[in-house]
Amino acid sequence: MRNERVFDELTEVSDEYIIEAMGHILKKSRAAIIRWCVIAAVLLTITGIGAYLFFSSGLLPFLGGGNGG
Amino acid sequence: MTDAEIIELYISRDESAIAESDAQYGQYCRQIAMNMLSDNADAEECVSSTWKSAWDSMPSQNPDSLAAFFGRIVRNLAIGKLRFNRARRQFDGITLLLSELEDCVPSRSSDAQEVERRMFSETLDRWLAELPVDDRVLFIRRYWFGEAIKALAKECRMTQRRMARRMLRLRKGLRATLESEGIYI
Repeated sequence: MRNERVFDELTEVSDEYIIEAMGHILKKSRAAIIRWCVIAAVLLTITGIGAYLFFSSGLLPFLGGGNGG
Repeated sequence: MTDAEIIELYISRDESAIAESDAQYGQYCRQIAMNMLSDNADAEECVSSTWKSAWDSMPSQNPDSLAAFFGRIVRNLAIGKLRFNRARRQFDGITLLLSELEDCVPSRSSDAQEVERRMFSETLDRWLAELPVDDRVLFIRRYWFGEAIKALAKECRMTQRRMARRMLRLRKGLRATLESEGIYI
């Protein structure tokens, strides 16, 4: 079939175009990894600051039921 | 490990070449095979056959880029597997009839086929060279790597419909170029 032939012939496209497209794919996946790392770092920082404020605010005895008495 | 080092392993017939290839390019080849076959087992089979095919062809061929070399092999294998699966599914139907009729159709000489193939290949390369980088990369990612329109649209932050239209424009452009060069398929 004609469309299959075009698909076959495409296999022989120059190396430089394959490498160029691969470079873009890698760049995008690297960007996605960096984005997730930044999101994780921001979340960890917020959690850390929240935990620090919580433990240093003196609210813990009230939430934990005081000293059991 | 660099491409040159992996090639050196193949040339010196060191079997660790296959493990190194799989470590470096396994995921890449699996992705190409999966894009075309959508079946894990078939994709895995194609990837394994890719290393064997590379092993057999490497002393005579010295590829400049292993990514392109392995990608081309796995793409060909995936197309072959796709055809095999389709023929097997339709074995009792039209495929069998067509395969029988193939005997009555005179085939062109292999020389003529080779000349046509070269002409197509050169025209395609020229057409790709004239495209803007974005369009060229999209065309290759769609029709060489077999990536889905949905994934490409998401990455380019556009709707699938718009991406499909962009692809249609590219295909029409290629068709016009082929026709202007007198290449009819």
